[in-house]
Amino acid sequence: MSKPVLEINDLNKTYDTSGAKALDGVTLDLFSGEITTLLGENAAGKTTLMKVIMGIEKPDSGSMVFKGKKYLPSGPHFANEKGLGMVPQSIKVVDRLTVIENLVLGLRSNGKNIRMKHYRECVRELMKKYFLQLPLDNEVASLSTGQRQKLEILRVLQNSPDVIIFDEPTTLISDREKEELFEIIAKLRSQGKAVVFITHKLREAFSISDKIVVLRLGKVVFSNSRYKTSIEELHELLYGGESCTLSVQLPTSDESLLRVHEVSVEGSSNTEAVKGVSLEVRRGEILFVSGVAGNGQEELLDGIFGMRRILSGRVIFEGKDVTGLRPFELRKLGLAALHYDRDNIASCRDSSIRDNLLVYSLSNGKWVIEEKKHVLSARRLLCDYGVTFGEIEDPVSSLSGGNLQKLLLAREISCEPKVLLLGEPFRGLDVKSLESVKLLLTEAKKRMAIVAFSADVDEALTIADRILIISEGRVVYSSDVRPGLSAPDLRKYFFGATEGLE
Amino acid sequence: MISKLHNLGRSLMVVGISLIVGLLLVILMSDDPGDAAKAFFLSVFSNRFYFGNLLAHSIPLMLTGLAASVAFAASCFNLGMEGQVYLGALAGTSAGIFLSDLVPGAIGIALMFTVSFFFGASLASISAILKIRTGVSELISSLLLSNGIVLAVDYFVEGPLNDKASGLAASISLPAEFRFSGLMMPSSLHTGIFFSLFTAFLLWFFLFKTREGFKIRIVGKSRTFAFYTGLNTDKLLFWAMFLSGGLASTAGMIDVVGIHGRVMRGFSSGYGWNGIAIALIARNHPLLIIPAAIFFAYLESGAQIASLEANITPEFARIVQAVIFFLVTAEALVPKHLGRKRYA
Repeated sequence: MSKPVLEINDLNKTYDTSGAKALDGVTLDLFSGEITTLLGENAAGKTTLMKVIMGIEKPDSGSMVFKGKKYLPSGPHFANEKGLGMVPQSIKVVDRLTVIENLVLGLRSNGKNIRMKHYRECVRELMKKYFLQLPLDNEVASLSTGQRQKLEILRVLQNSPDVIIFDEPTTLISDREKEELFEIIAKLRSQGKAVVFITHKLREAFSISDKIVVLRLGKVVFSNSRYKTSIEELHELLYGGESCTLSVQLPTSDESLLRVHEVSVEGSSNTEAVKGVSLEVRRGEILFVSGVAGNGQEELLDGIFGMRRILSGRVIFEGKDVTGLRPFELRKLGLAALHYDRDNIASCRDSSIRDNLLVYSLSNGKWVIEEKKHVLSARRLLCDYGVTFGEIEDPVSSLSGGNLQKLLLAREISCEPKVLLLGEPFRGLDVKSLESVKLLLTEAKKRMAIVAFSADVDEALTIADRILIISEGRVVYSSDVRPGLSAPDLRKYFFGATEGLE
Repeated sequence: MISKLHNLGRSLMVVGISLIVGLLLVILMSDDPGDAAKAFFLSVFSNRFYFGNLLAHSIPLMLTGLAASVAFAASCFNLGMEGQVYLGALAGTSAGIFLSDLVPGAIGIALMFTVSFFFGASLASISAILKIRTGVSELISSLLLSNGIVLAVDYFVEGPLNDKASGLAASISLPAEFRFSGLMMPSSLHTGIFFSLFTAFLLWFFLFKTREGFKIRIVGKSRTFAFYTGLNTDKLLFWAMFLSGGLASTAGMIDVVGIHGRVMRGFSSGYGWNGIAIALIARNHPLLIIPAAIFFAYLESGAQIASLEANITPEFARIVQAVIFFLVTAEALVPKHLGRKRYA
């Protein structure tokens, strides 16, 4: 066998904020022309390992060898220059710049002095080579999530790295975009790049990788070729054989709690993102609003929740017209929402875990804050929802993506609203958390009405009572969930508005 | 906990560096560096007169520092504190003159402070309302309003309220029972210092232990998060500015009641501006405002004493203060977590 491109030897890393061991003696080899998949639950150390490779985090001990030379990255810049690139989990692009300007930002700094005109040609060639088509002169703000991810990939590829890491790339994008992404990854392999693909979705891992590595609590517990293992074995390894299926169906009552009537919502730069959408939801019911991300779902949630201007139409809550009311008024009435943007809007990065979790009970509690009572209830909530954390006073930014998600769900459900809007409730959750969240939601719907916005139809089908599909700002499909309704059937409607499948 | 200690360390470092720069400047600018340095840095502690004056000078600075920190806590910028100091002093003093012989001393003082608080608070509220209703930056509106108000106060001090008999650019004096009693005679230290200390404690309690203070801090940390999470951000911004303006004007009132007994033209010598620097050094923590204000007063007193005892001009203190201001604002140059590598 040939020599590995990157050898990782006995890496250890402990975070001083939480004291948790994120990496515990990880040893791993990456080979050219091979796709290695890293599997693991939330907070298993997948992201930390990649951060160490990219020099974002420093390991406590251990070493790395890249192309036969000792490799000690001082930061992502250094890694880029050596020939390692990463497409991060949360997309980091500059909204106000154009696509090409964003690409220039990611250009390797030791590159030759090139003219813009020439550079444009290079980028065009690159796009052709990988079938990545992007409008170069459009502002990034106008791109969909999938396109932004392509931009990130292009930004990494232009430096022609030898090792490319994709950190949970499939959580944000639609199925069609996923197919395209997999094609790109296969193409990269055929060109002899070493690709690392991080995910917690078993099926994906199985479909594209050559080698599968399973991390648990910072340790490599499994590492083998895909052909020498099976989905069953991996499932066993990851989740200890636990698997529960849900079949809790409640009779829905007739009380209509939220009615959205012919609502149009303003999008970015004077466009109409949502065009006359109507929906209705009753207590004891979960309504899923699905469709390819970026077709107006986010804007619809924002519009209902008073964070975006409604151009026309009405929102009726318990028989009262609440169109255009602001979040603090809506929350008082009993409407809560989990916003799509976890990092900037749904949580406050500079605040502690406790403050983020208890922001309602603190801001609606007694005039003098009752510290002890709040610390107790925070601990209980975090425990109930299975959030792994260090100290309750740590900044919320110390939590991993999946744990933050659980914390936010805990917050929104625990304030017992009458109607709960959820933006991508399943994003970033591993199978175990996913099951527990689904259980929580089916439990919660006895007391409230839930409208979930999610591009993930497969998961939606498991707990939804009704499904609504939005394409290009319009409802193209609406139906009760009944046996026999399958995800592929529904996906046909995803591009309904453009392909005339109505 | 680590980060708290860390912040404190960083504040101390800023203070330390600025003292060293000050010392270097003294050595460069004086013919007799040894003497001048001693006069500048040590003479303050040599007798009760100097030391009392130092503390007296810190009294209004604490209040403007607190005023700035409330606004900063909500991510608002109240640049109009200088005007609020003057307006507060004038309004409170006018009330005092009007009330003389009508009410006993303690009640008179309390009423004067209340009047002064509401005048300053209303002035700051104008900026807050402009921001909420029309989106005008409070930075600009408060600064412009303040500059105008200072001139208007000058007019009252030189015109309708002028103490003609004295021939000074000052208002009529307050009656003796409407004054704080002195401490550490013959320095100008007065019992108003307890008011400042108590206010610092009160503000700390408000910001960190009460519901409304919590809301203000959340708004300051992330306005979109606060809005989404169901806080009335407009209302909170208004109250933060209101409180800030009120506190700033009590700084003017306390100097009148404690030291001068009347409003004098230009008495503030930049309390409003220094309050901003103090809040920055103290990182908006109300209790840390106390040492920060004393440190600022120490520099100013040191410069004054040095100009008396050694051949250094009082302007010199301004240079050292400017250096501190500069170092504090250049805080970005110091890595956020010194000695502990942390990446986003």
